[in-house]
Amino acid sequence: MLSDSGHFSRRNFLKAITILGLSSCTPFLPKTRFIHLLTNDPHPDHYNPILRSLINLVLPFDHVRFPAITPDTVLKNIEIHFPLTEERQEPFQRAFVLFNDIQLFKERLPAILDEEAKLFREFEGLGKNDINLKIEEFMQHDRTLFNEFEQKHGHHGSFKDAPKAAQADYFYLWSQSRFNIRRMFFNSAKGVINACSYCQEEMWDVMGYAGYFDPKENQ
Amino acid sequence: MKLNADIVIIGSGAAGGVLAATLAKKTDKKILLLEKGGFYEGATIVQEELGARHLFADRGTRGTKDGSIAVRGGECVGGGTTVNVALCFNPVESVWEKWKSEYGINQFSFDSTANDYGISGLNMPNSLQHVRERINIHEPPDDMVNDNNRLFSEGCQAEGVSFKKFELNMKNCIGCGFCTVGCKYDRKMSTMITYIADAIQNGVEVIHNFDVEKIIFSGKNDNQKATGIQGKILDADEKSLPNKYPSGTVTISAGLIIVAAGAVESPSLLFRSKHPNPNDTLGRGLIIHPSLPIIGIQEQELVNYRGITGSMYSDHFYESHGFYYECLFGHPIYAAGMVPGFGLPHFDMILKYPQINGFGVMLVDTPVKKNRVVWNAYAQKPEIIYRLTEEDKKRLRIAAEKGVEIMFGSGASEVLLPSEESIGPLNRPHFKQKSEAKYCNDLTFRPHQTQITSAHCQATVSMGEDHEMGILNSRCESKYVKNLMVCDSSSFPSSCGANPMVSIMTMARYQGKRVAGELARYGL
Repeated sequence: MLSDSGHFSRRNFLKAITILGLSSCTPFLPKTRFIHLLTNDPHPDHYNPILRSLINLVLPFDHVRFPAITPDTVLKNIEIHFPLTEERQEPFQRAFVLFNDIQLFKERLPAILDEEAKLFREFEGLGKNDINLKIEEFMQHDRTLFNEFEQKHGHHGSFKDAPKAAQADYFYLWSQSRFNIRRMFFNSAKGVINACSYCQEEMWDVMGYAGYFDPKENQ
Repeated sequence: MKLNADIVIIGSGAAGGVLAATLAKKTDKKILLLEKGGFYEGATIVQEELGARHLFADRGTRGTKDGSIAVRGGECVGGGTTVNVALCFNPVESVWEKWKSEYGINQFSFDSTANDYGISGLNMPNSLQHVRERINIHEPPDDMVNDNNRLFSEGCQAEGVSFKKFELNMKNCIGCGFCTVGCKYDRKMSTMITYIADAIQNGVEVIHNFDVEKIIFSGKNDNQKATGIQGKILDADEKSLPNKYPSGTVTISAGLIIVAAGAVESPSLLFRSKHPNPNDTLGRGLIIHPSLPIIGIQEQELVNYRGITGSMYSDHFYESHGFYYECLFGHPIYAAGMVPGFGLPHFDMILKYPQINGFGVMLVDTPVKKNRVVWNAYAQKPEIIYRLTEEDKKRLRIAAEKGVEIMFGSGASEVLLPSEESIGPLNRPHFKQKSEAKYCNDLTFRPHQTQITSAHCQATVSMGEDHEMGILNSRCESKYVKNLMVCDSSSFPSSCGANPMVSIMTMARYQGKRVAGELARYGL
């Protein structure tokens, strides 16, 4: 009945990221760094530090009981199970880079709005007017969230350079967004990182999980 | 490469395996059983979550188009029966009677003396009996009920909720707890080691790693007939048995094509084949049996990942609210995915893994046209479009609230739902006392915020004699293309009312026997 495969979907994650990476954002975002991002494939040196920051946020390496797993271990597992270096993973790479730009959260990103409208049409059969109303409500909700975030943490430009408390609240913000695609990013990023760490036997040891069954256990 | 067969069966899961064995036993026809995934014997099974991805559709990442609901489906010889947790429910007679009255389905008699279609002994009880015996359906002994299942029954008892033991298709289970990655010890009586083994013994040829591109139709308009299939054999990976045939494009001519690829792949194949769809009903009315895990933290340590994963359930609310509680448990990756949050609080909760117990709500969802499977020709992928209806959300809220109470009744000191939704005064559905269960009424089940899972897709190529949703007649034959049948969970007109494996197998046994008795109908 219940899925045992973990609740992440690389395919959907990639799809989400593709949409985030669509260049239709460009005219609305007069930021040269953003235009540069959309027209140039990110280099591993660009997205890996963001992924690494996320890994450091999702997994508490400084916890006294955390096993001898490093961010490199997790990155290596991601490379094995969800290899980012493949050409088809370019959208995936870009997603991390876009996520990194904290100030984009409050922007009207047409690609995100279009995707949300598409979901309303496809999944719920809503008409244009209803969709527009919903999207305005969503924008308002997300801007309120963002304002609260900035009131608490001040202005930050980059996720990877932000203090850890701000990083945590920013990542959490994505789980609370009204926009499907942001919540998807939260879930997928958490899911991939967890999958690539909780597959390690060192992790099983500390959590009290014996792993592989030995038929002698029954004797 | 060109091949010929009398009967081609597409899909080797709960339906395909039974159809192949039944037809092989009762006819002398040449039968090919095609499977998209590989053929993995028990010895190749690795008891790891990520190590089992090759057994699943989309390597375990299949979900709804928006990614919000993980939709689990086996893609290997044996299909879902290879990777499920062996939970068996007899066909729910009241559901079949409803299909008869509402969808005009006929035959499928539940009288064990009936001879449907004039075929001796053809009826549902006889078909069910065969399935029950072949896959060894039985209740597990008391000493195989692990802590997780025991706690669930204690919780039900405390809350005045009735509970039962599951029936399971296992033989001498040794309780490794790894049903969901395939049984390494061949103790789960999947179709791979029962009906498909029988089929092979009776001359059926299994071709795995076979990707069926389309069914070939001859004729036009009202006179179309299925005459074969076109597809390709892909390279099998190193864990799979090798194929008899080399990789490459294959055309198979056949007298009868039976599609049994499941409720996602079957409609997709019909879409690809340009099967007539005059009422725009193909793929629509998708049922998924949405599932919501309920997680408890107990004071004492338990070993819930060993023993029989699911041995207890409750159908207390089935008649009144259309949901079940089913007792199941997850290994670390699944557990980490279901525990809300991240960072320190998440890890602190994971450290309580030995104290965690769990069960899930399984909702019998309402069929609506907008929930559907479509074929994306550009991406060459099926797309699953699904949203909970408002009515189903109401029932799921009730199920969540009562489930939280049952979990507290089992002795849990804390209860969680896999959700980032704030409800009532709670930032997340993380309950510290039973009285907080009422906040479940605030759950919106917002996609990607509350984790819903599914493993029971159904009803996308429905039977229905005169019903607008009916693509198939009661023989599971296409109404529009001769010599084409679809016989699997997609053929159900709506939810079969319980975990579907045995209902599918019973229907497949029934239809296999019917086809064997009506070969002339197909020119065989």
